[in-house]
Amino acid sequence: MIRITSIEELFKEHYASLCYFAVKILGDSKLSEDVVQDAFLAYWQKNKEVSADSICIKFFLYSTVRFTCYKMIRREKVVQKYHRLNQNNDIEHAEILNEIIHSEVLDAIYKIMKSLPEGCQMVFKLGYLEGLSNPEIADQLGISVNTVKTHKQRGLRLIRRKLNPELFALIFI
Amino acid sequence: MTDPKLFYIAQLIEKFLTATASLEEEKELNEWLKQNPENKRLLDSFRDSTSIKNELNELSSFNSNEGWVEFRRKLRLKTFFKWIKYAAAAVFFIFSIRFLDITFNKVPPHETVAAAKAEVVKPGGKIAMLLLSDGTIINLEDQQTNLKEKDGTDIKGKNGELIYENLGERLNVSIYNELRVPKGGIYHLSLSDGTKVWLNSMSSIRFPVHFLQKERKVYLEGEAYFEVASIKDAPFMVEVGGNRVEVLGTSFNVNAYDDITKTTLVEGAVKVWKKGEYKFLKPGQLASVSDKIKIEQADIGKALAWQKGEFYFTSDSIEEIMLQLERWYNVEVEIENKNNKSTKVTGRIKRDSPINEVIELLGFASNASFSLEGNLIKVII
Repeated sequence: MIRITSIEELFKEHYASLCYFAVKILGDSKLSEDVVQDAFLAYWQKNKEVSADSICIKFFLYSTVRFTCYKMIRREKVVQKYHRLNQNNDIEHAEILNEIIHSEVLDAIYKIMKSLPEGCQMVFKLGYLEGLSNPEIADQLGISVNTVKTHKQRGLRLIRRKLNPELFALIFI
Repeated sequence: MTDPKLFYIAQLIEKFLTATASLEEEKELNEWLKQNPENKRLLDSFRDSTSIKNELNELSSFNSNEGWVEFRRKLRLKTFFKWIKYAAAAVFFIFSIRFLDITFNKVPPHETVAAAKAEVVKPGGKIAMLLLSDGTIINLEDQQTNLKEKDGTDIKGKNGELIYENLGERLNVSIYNELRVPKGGIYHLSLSDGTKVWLNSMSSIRFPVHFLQKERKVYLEGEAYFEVASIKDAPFMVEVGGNRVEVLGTSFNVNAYDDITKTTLVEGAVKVWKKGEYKFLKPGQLASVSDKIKIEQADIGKALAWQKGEFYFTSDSIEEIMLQLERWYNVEVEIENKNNKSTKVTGRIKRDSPINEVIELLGFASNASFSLEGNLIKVII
């Protein structure tokens, strides 16, 4: 098969979700990044053989990452942190598939957040992900508390349109 | 659930979370939820605000720009080691020379109009024309050739390769032959001194049948790859684009389709001349000659890809890529680039791929749109 693609776009699009998936198995973020970069190298070399279908590419990348992680664990180079691999292959298989789904959905939510205008995004990150109070955010960003509130309101309005009200309520209120 | 189906499930969940799922899709999601208690647990995890916050935090800690830099570094290391192995094995020179377009093109027979459209454009093949010293033009095309030049030298050819051997008597004056490769062609030539030359589309080489002088000189237009036979005290010269490449016994590629002559050295040593000045080229280097001589690091794989039967694009613009396709497939190209956007494409394709497959993939990879009408490719960037 023949294949031409922009490997850079592919890389940046899927990097975070793949790393997140790997760190759930390995527990070490630096190692996870290495494994993911190596998976892209493997993809790059097989360029001629992987299909032009983006689902197949994702599947190839996740599979490569997954099996590299297993190899590392079996060689006892890494202590299993978060995800215990069972002897029973069926269960393991189903759980891993769900981990992949989990990474993908989380990444989609993250991308929605990233689609916010920059001012709002920073306020959101500090306020909701890191749990800072409004005065603390104002301090860190060098803006007034009122500006922080404005950014929050604007961001909420934008996100409200994109996320299911139920989820939105839970996460952002 | 088959493995790739899991990405579809992820999409269903995303649609559910963004309240954009259709009734049909919600039904499918419910089916999936019933299959395994694990599945319900997964969906519920997205409703747990604390855990989502932590997870988003963790996800955001992975910086794809930094990761990309690391990736490039690892890729460079890999490519470097690969090149070292290659340089040890091969030594070839490639010259290119401007070539006058010879409209010699074979149109295969076709039964239906639809088939005709698809078959009119074919990837290049072993087509060339040989111009003898007396002016006779021989069509070389997958048929066997057996000639004798007027000095008695044997010229044998078949299957895309032409060999000069059994040198005749030494005449007082050199007699020259010229091998011309048109658009859509590629050819291999063995000169009487044992030097091997591969010529790309739209290229020609003019050479003496018998090298009489100490200096072995040939004239090139277009692009060629050389493996020069090492003969003591008899330097090999390639005259190209009004300048000269002096070869000290090895392999190199010369590309001179436009105003800049690019010589890539694989093995051996080469002197690149411009007017009265010259510079030495080392293996792995590329000399670009326009108004002066510039030496830089070469990408050997890229320079030699054509000779190995591949196109190898490394962040090449659509315009550059279309020039290559024009020559090899012998098509016309029209590019419309209203917003002056620069679109770069990276990748490899075999040169024997049908043209419609090539442009289909270019379209996918670049967001430009391609259409093929008979012999014309229209591109909108």
